[in-house]
Amino acid sequence: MSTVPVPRTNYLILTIVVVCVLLIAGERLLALPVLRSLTNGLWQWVIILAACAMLLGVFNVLVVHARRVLAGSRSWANSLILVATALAVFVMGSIGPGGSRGAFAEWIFGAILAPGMATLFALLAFFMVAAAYRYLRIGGLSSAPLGGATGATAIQASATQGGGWMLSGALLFLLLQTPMLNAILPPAVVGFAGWVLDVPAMATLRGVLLGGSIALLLMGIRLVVRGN
Amino acid sequence: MPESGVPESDAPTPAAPRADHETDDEPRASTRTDAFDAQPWLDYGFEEGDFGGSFEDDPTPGGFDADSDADGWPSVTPGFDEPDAVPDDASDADERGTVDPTRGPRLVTGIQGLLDPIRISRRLEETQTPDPPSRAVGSAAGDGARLEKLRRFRNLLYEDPRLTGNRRRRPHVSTRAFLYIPWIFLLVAVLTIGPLVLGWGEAENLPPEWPGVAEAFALVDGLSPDAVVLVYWAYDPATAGELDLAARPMLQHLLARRAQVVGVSTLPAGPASARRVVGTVRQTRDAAGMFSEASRNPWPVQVAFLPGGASALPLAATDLDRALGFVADDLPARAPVLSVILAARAEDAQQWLEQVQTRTGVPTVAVVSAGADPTLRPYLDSGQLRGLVSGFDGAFHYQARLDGGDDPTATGISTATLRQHVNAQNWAHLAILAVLILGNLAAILGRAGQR
Repeated sequence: MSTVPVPRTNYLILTIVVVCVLLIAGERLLALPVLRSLTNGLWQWVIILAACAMLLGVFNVLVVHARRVLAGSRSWANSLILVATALAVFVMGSIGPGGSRGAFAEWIFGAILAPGMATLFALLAFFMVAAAYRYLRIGGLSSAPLGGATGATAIQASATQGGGWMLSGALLFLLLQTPMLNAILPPAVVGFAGWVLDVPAMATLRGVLLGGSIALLLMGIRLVVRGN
Repeated sequence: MPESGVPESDAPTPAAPRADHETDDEPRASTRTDAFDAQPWLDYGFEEGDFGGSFEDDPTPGGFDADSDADGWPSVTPGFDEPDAVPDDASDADERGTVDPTRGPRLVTGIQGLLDPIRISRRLEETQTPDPPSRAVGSAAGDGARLEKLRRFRNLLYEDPRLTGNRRRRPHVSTRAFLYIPWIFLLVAVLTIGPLVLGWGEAENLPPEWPGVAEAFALVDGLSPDAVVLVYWAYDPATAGELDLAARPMLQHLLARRAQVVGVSTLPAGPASARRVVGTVRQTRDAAGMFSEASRNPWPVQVAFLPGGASALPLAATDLDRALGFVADDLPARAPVLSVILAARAEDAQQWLEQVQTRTGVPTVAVVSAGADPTLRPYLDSGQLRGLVSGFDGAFHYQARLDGGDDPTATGISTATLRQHVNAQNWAHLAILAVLILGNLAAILGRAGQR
């Protein structure tokens, strides 16, 4: 018979959390200026801790990959490239002319990082097209996936059951937002789409936002009171 | 007479199980006779006296334990006195008459389908030390094939199982070429890139203008010179393809109004993105050659990085000088009069509205991606946002207002460039519509095929 260790409440941490919550809530809700200096100090500590965590993360990545290189693990060459690049950029950003805003750092960002990030994000379009092709369909379960791709039948079943409604909404607003087609749509359709956005869609989104905020508040209270 | 009352001579002998390849017309194999000769107790009607000897005298290896159980049935035990004794079994001897030591003792004979036993271990007594492996090999010296067989069997026991001859089934590929999904990707890519590169089908249609653009323009246009504007830069190069186009007209307008722009970003790549975009806007303005010295904006745009995500935003609301202190060369002497959110995700704009706008009460304008527009419409409707410029459509109409304004120094990026993007947007939307139609066509044809 396995025994699961029961988590014990750390009352010191719980006390710190409660004090911070009371300080911030007091400064925010009661607008007590005397607490502002304390809360400003807390926000600064948050920034410092986050910065230290970021540096720790970078250091950890370097250590992990350096160990791979020294141990000769599989794909150690990729790890060596990563470590060498990181060190080169760090050194040039630290001692180079202009520092982190110098020509070398700006070139690294503009010529390598920015295009790379944009390229990876651009792949999202193809994923969305594939998802739209496969799941925005009218009707129920289609057992045989077409188009040369496999997928979980259960997920496909649950996704296609609401596909008709999603397809209707997608088609309506695609027609509305396509400049070429927007010009030929009758005004009644444009007005109807605007009404859908202003009334039911907005009401739904407001409900989601309000519900999410209340849920978050209750979770925070539960965390403070129950400690888990 | 046996108990059944049937004479022994007339007692039907029990039929041995017939093999699959045997038929009634084929003579039975002689194995049945051999089996009953070796194990006569299997025979129907066997009595001990018929054996012609006691069990103790049976020379068959693995013979019989004379101590039968309570029911009188003999028990078969591997009764080896010497663990290393090699069974002197004629059936195990090869053609040269030697016995293979790798063959283990056969406990049961005469049953069809039994595998040949292989000796893979020895029974060790406490006083004995285990023999080195070479001794076992040495005993079978001269017969490499059998040793190899033994080695393979041993490896088989210790290796992980591998599936052989079981190829992974290739995913089903539709025989209908036009529904092959890589073709669909190619269609989308061609219809999106073609208008941009080759200038296909110039469209004169304008994208729809959503509420919020005019209000945002009016707010920025009403700024006085040297007004402090706080910018929340919440996008990085991953989403710069859309947000750069949307942010440039806004930044152009702010610089044209000679606003003192200071910014914060919770993304590590945010400040670098801001420098890149602001530098492009300045170069475009300077290259246009329409600006007098007096109209140049003397204030540098400075954006600070605040690590910690949304937790760091309250400091920008309560103590902006401390938030910008380690970056800004010339800190603004006055409080900001306008906030501008440049965000790719609705969550970033929401965090700013929750943490900063509610504290400062400063009018806020958002420039966001088109996907974040529906989530932020309620904020525009409630008044928390004074203006909303979403996606490329909003950027187009903002730029059009900028170009049509009275300020000649405001012109930077031409509307013609944006119109080229409008054309590409047309074709991309048509491609998405085609994908949706083809997807439903594939589903309908698939269902019809199944029936």
